[in-house]
Amino acid sequence: MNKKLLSFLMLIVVTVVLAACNGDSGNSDGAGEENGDTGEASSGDTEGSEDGEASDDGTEITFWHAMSGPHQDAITELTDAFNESQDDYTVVEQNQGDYETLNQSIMASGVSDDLPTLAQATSSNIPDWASNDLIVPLDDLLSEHFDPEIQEDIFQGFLEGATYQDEIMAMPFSKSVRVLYVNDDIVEELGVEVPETWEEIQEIGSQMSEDGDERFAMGLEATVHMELETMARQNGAEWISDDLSTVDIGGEAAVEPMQFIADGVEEGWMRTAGEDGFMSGPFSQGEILFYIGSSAGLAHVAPAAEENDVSWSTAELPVYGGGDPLTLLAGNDLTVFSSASDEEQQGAMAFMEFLLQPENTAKWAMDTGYVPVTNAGVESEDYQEYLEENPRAEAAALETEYATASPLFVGSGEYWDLMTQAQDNMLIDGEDVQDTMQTLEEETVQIIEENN
Amino acid sequence: MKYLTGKTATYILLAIGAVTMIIPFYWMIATSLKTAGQAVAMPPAWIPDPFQFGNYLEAFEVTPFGQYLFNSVIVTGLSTFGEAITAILAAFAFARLNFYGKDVIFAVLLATMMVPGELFIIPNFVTLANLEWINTYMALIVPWLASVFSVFIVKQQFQSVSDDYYYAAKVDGCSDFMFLWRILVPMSMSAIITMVVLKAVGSWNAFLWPLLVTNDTSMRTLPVGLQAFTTEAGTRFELLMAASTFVIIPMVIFYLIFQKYIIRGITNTGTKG
Amino acid sequence: MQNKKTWKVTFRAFLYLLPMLIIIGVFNIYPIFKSFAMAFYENYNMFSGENDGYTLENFNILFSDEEFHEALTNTFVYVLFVTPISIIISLFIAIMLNNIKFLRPVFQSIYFLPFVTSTVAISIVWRWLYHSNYGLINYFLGLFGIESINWLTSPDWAMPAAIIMSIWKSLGFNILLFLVGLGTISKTYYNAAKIDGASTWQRFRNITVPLLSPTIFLVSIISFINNFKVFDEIYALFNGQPGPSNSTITVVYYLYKKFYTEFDYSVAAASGIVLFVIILIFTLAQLWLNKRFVHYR
Repeated sequence: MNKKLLSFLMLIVVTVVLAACNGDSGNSDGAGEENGDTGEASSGDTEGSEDGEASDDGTEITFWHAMSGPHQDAITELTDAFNESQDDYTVVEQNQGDYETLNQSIMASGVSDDLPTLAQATSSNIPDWASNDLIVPLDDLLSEHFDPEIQEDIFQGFLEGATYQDEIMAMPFSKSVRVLYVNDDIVEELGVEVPETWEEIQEIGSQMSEDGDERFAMGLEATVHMELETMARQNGAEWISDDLSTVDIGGEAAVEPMQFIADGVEEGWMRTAGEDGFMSGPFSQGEILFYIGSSAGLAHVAPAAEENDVSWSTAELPVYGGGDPLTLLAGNDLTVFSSASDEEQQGAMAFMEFLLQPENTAKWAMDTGYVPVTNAGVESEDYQEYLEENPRAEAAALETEYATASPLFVGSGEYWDLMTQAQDNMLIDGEDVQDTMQTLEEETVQIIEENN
Repeated sequence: MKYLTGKTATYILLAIGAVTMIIPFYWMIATSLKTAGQAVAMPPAWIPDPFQFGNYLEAFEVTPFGQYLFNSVIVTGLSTFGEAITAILAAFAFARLNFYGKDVIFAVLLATMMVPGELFIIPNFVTLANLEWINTYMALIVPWLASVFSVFIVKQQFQSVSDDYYYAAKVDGCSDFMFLWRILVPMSMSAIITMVVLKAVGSWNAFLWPLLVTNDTSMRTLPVGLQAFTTEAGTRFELLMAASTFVIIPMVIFYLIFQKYIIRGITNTGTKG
Repeated sequence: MQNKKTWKVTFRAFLYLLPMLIIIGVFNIYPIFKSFAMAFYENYNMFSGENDGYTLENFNILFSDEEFHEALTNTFVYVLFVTPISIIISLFIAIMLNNIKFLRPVFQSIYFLPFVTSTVAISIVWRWLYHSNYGLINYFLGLFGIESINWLTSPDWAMPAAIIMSIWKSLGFNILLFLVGLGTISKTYYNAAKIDGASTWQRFRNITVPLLSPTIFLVSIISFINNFKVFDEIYALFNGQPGPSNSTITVVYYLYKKFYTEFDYSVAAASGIVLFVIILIFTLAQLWLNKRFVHYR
């Protein structure tokens, strides 16, 4: 009989050990000096919330993000600076993995009502979260608790990219644009100019093919959506209009550049990153003359290219079909959750206002490779100095003027998957561009109609 | 002569297989010592030149690996230990006791393995949130204190031990519980250690769950630290592999320590025959 | 089995089972019911819990989705190749390992390495092995005059590429389990058989297979179940994409996509149920075969 008792005792031992650990976590938190400021701040706040009374540090604002490594260090620095700058709020920044796991964290805590006050959101997160009422429109909060001067100074395209169904759902934060990476060695060798149009690139490419040059004139990332949409819109297509009423992906202005890409790949002077994952690899090996990638990838290309003695620079995107220059925005914005109290939401606004102050948005840009989100940020002394020292960052800064966003809609994840599939069908399986784009247009219209 | 050629063939085949098994592991360590440019070179460089031991230092600077290591040891240690206990107890009931509902319960347990774990994430998160265990060791450990797979392995091994031992033990006045711990468990060490090793490796490498149920850096485990080297524009492979090597070395050592138990198997006389 | 089925024994048995049952009950069985219910709600909102009652519409949507058909086909192809091939190869290697003494611990450790090596490292190495220009595999094929294959970028070859990598990756785990099983087979059988002049094949056929059948059964059940749930391998090999032109989308990949990127959790749950039923049928078939052929000592 007492043997059974023993088995239970074992179980109790296990449970007690575990419970002890649970209790310990608080202590190890505080003692965890390795964590530096993060650990201390969070343990202090846990105590505060347990006691149920506001501590000296004011209202706690939790901020979930997907920044890790050096980017997280930069966020920590800005957060600390904000916490020191005022006494009403304490922001606790917490990394939740990458964007995908951050989204899962938001879903899970949305169901269990444990959402943070604010979080980073990608452009496909915003409509999903908004349509499930997880996040609040910022219009009212902006007019009451945000410096109008800063708001007006945000680049127009950036704010449009955070607008869903005519309401501002997010605040632009970590934004990147597409830039042209240039291998200066090959440019010099071939005696060509850095191109301003795709026609010039095609000329250079065809010439290289003719000369039997095995290098590629033009590289694109593994998925060409952004380049395609950019070229199509430069060419006069709407692509997907802001009010979602028009989709002309299958129209002539959109099919033309896709055919152009397909031909370039076919002729052998253009390629996608494909099995190499990212174009930064082949580019830093000196195998590519030009490639279009995210401006946030600058830090990534630098060390490998330097090692291989590849001298390189960046330039503004080439234009297709003689249209106006245009680049699409990528990156992420900040959203505020509806579960947060009024006070917390106000705190979130104060924090965002702080992040968007010229010196801070400039600092964030300099630390991470994103671009400042306000005019004043770009023109700030620090950032101008930075551009002088880092001429490669200049192309992106210049593009902020005409950077624009794709409209937000529910189902964009599905739409992106279909795009990728269509791209494979056209570039790998060699399916007819006109037909595939036409089908894609129909499917996109259907997704938009079903979800919005 | 024939015997010898047979052995030689065995060794040759095993060696060929071993090479394919070891390439990724070798590549991981080689890359961890490469420069940034070499790490992405195509075709890849087999031998790093020069050896960049600095990658390890750089990787350590990026994340608080000390704290992560501490958490990983606690979480893996306790959950593995706990799972071994629950699995041994349950396996005993399935292997040695005849009770009502046995087949049904076993079938239900087996059925739980057939549902994709991707569906469990949200309900389990909500359960832990209701228990107020989010961001505690409890959330990292308790859901993993039992596994049907482990019960399955241990049960299978228990079944292969002869009934004679059971009767002999009974005659000696040994209770079921004593029989289990004094005789059955020592005789089944190879299966139990195998289960422990598989479980420990799985727990050590778990990424998604520890990330979801914790928020503070101070509660995170080693694999979470590995994501620090990937950005939107690419991955710093040399740093990632340096960190990965560091993360898995404890598991390799753990395996090497316990390997002899796995090889030894069950004492031959112990089987029914 | 020694004791008679009585309520007393049943009570004792439950004491032994209790710790495991509590954990499995709370963290496996309860969420299964939770998510299965999700599949039957109409217009379910996971966040508010609101729904318009029960419906079978989600299954309707699921079965009329072309992509789900593809996912089903791919999953079957994957399972039917990976499971048997992996079991045969790992059984073969385990027997070889079991037959040698010299260097055995070294070999055994090496065969276990893929199990501990980081998944990222594994997928990168395989992406490189499969690389159409620089890959080792195409290099070897080239030695035999075979034209280079676009393993990762051709929709026809993506699935074979995933299958080969998965077989490779599953070996360490299966070998380990087989070694445990082989360890329980007394050497005396083999010695007796040798004296009787039995050939290697006869010994394999008449001693190893029957005596190892419980382990083979265990490994095959577990492999089938796990392979039906394939996701990680595909996700890692194709860099977060379900292969070129969606060519390697599997049921769990479909589920994941529906659930987390399309917020279509009811359809995702429905696909989980369909997969569950398929695996259940497979497992029941194996249990039936087990009753007939597996030799329990």
